[in-house]
Amino acid sequence: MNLFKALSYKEWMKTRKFILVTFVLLAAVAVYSYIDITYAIRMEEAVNVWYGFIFQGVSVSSLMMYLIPLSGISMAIIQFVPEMTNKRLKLTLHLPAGETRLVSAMLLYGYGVLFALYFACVIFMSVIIGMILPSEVVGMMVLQFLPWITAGLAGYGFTAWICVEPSWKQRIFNMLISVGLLSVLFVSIYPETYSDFGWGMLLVLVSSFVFPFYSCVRFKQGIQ
Amino acid sequence: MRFKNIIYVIILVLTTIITSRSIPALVKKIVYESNGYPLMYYSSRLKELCIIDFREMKDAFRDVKGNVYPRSQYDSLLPLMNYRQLAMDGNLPDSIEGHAMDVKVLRSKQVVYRFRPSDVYSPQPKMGVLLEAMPKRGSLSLPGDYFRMNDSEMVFVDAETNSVKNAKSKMFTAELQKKGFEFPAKAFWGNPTVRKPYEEGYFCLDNNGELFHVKMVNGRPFVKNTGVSKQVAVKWFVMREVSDKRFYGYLFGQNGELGIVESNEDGGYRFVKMDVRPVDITKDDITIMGNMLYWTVRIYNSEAMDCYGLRSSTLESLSTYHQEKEIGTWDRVADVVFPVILSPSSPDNGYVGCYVLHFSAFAWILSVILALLVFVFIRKRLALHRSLIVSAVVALTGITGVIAFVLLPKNRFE
Repeated sequence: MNLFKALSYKEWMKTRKFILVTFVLLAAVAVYSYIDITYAIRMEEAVNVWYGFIFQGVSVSSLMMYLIPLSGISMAIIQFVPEMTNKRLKLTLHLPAGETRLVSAMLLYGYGVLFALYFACVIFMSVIIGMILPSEVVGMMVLQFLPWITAGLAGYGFTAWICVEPSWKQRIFNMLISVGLLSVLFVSIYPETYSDFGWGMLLVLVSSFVFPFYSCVRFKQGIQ
Repeated sequence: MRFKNIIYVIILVLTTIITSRSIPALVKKIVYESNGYPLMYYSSRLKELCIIDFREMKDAFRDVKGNVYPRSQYDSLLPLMNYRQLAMDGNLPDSIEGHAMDVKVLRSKQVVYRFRPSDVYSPQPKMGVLLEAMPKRGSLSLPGDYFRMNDSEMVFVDAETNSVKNAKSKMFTAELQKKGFEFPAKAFWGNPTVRKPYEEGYFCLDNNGELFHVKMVNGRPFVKNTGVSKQVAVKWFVMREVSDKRFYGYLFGQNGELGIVESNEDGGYRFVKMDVRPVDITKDDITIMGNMLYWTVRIYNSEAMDCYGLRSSTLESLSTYHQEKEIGTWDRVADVVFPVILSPSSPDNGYVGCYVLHFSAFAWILSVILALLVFVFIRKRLALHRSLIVSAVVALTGITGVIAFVLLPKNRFE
């Protein structure tokens, strides 16, 4: 167990600044969305602002569509690029534990941190937006965030897959496959359109967790 | 690693799903040519449905009996469609079938409506808004609150304060219950916009399947059971405040009935069924183009179009026309190249899912042959079990499976 504590500490040292920056950015965008809506309410009257949310599917915070997936991708870059320079990952894989467990620990650390950040962000936004907009709109917002959050988490896993992959040609192919899989999460940005696609989002999420193991095997075999 | 082969299969299958979506979409963009159905209109002069397709004949159009008319007669043979142009040219006839041709009346009797399955199968507004049906000023305006239908009451929420308006909620709930409305509501349909000539509020389907008309008149509730559920089991309703106030909107029945809800002489409601084939709202698109004398209704899907010329007063059918979908370049290419085409979106559904847009048995037979060739080619380059898996995927998906395989790592030592 100590080994995994130490491993988590290593990941924490690498990513703590990034986590802080992401936390601040998410909070800033959440607060900005709130300010933006209260401004719109003062300018255009609440009744017209509500109309947009209820009947036209206006997004409470469209910036989140970019911030959430990008934060997931950046997290993987921060966590795995240092491992790949000078092939430091080799040292990690030589620690006295199975490679599956080691890579799982590294990935679960990233998923856990991102999930905690996104979860906190959704709860915070639900509370502040719930003060000025009805529960129906808050529900629409949460459902709209779901595919973006999935894209953030899956984007993390796929980026790890691309980073750990040892061959450059395969890295490009991995990017193509990742973009294809992530694009499924941006087919429609209208709130609630993903409400029947929970299984699909779960499939993309689970695949983003298992794909990196394959690159890890190739890395360990020394494929160039 | 123990799960290496399982992960390989997962990557292969998911990549194939992605290529089964993106490669056909790309090919479609390259070869697709418009092969949609033509515009149809029932001519009040010819007393027949006309097919207006200037892609087919540049300078002519025809009726469904095959008579061809030059384009120069387009306006005069379809006067109720082109009355604006005729009026501009000074050629508007004085009367048709004994009805005086007045531009104002013609405009108010004009009906244009388009229905898509995705109107029903997509996220619906969770709240509604009741505008004042008798505004003090001429134009309609938003009242400042929105309503939701709870399990046992109708609740109005004030937008400015985001708080429930208790008095108004109680007043409307009491009126609904007094008129026999059974909560919870199954659905409510309105036309929430201020850009319409007048307000008719909402039609609400109660728990017993009865359709109620709810609107706000002078700040007070107006609730009435339309009673149309005695005529038809209601599946869907579309509110449309038409200029001449003849009807409230379009109603779709559980058994494919399509019609309008009219107001009858004594202030009640009546379902008038259109004399058309049963409609399947999961896949049929509908367009309605009506004028004071005739309505033209097209019901079409990916296989065929049925068109009807109806008498406007009774909606009985005067003429019908059936046309199969033309097979275009894209359809021919897809039938040969792609055994299956997947997509996360569907033209008939607003929700994201995994839709099979196309299946071709012929392409599937070809892909089995392709799979055998692939197997022979990769046999020496990959381990046997991998060659078999890749061949199986290619046999099921054809060329898109081959492209997925190309994208995957291929090292014989793995």
